[in-house]
Amino acid sequence: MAEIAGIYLEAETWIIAGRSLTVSALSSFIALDMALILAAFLLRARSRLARGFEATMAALMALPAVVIGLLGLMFFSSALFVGTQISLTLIPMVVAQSALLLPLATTLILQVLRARDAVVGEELRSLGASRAQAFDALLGDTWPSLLAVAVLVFSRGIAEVGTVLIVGGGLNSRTEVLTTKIAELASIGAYEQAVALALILILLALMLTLIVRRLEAKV
Amino acid sequence: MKAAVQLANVSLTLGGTMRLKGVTQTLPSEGITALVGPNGAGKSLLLATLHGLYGSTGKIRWHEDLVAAPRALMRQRPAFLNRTVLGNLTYSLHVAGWKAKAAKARAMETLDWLDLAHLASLPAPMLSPGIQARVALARALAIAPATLLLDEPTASLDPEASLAVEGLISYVAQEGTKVILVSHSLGQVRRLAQDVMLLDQGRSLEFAPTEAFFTTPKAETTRSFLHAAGFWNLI
Repeated sequence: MAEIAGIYLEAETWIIAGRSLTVSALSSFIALDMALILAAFLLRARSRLARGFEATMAALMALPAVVIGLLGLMFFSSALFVGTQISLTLIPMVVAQSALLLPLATTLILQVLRARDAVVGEELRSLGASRAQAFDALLGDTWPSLLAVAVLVFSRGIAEVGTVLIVGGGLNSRTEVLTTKIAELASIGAYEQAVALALILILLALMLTLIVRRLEAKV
Repeated sequence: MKAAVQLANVSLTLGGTMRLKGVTQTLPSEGITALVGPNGAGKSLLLATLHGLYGSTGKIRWHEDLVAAPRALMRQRPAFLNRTVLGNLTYSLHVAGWKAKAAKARAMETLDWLDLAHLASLPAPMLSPGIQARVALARALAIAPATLLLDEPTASLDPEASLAVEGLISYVAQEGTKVILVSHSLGQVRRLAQDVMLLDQGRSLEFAPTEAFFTTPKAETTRSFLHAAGFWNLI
């Protein structure tokens, strides 16, 4: 057993922490990849459809996590998945959390790329860069900022409780993650254990921030 | 006269304002053609339009030898990627279709030619505007353009560097590159150009061989323009 802030944590706690990391890392990876693809299309798009889509993405950033969770639960409980035993597993949690993170990732990535495109975009066009070549150059120019976006997206993922609780159900040994465990412990009055788990979350956030700072300093 | 490019009734509207108004002119295939005119005349826009950056109406017909040949534009305020000077040159060569190894060798050769090799490993966005102008010229020349479009290439240079760049422009023009130059320095235009076009409010008002442009201008606007710059006595 390990000790944090004078509280002994069981091996199960580290499994839960690992599950949290896995779900959030996978969700962030999927959301960021999809956001990059969307950003490539939206970056210089001028059509009403593209602008409408972008505005919708920005608006969806404010969508409560529990709503995504509820939609995810309804989707994975639907007739489509009868007999798959996919419900109340990590897969719906990853999918729902990816959906939650996608608007944030897309909006932030677009902001970063647009700011740089305003500076070098016309120069890239005058050099004859194709859309793909220009996008590639913009990614190369903005990767420290994009890394910060990735960390922010991951932090949002690992800190949220609504989606994973509703979609995953917070089942012991199956879908329990740090935030749902903290909520459960708090609800039964086990505050010391809850605080210890919260400290793990804070440590993870601090470590990520430090890693980003180190990488940015190397640029 | 063999034409580098023929412009027929070229017009350009940006932000609801017509910025180029029916420019019709034939630019000769050799030497240096200067575009002059007051601020806001449309010189830079015409240059960018010739480079294909803006969709205009009318016709722009390049000579068949120049249609597919490399064409480079050096903008008045060049922008650089967050890379070294060498990285910026190799990127433009990569975009122009050069393979990585050949691009690096060509970039170094060009930097060496322009006496900029010692800056190769420095981050281009951090350089002074004067040095950036020379790096931008190097980036344009690296792809060995058949047509070189220059938008005030010496605007941020000191007199010595300016003369050096003028020498370089003359040299590449003599070597067969068609140069179209926007400049506010009429002294520079007189030293370098073989012919001059005056633009005002988006219209081409006069096109003439350089000496005739400065000594026997036909358009009243040209005479006023030259007079304001101290090149023409109205009385």
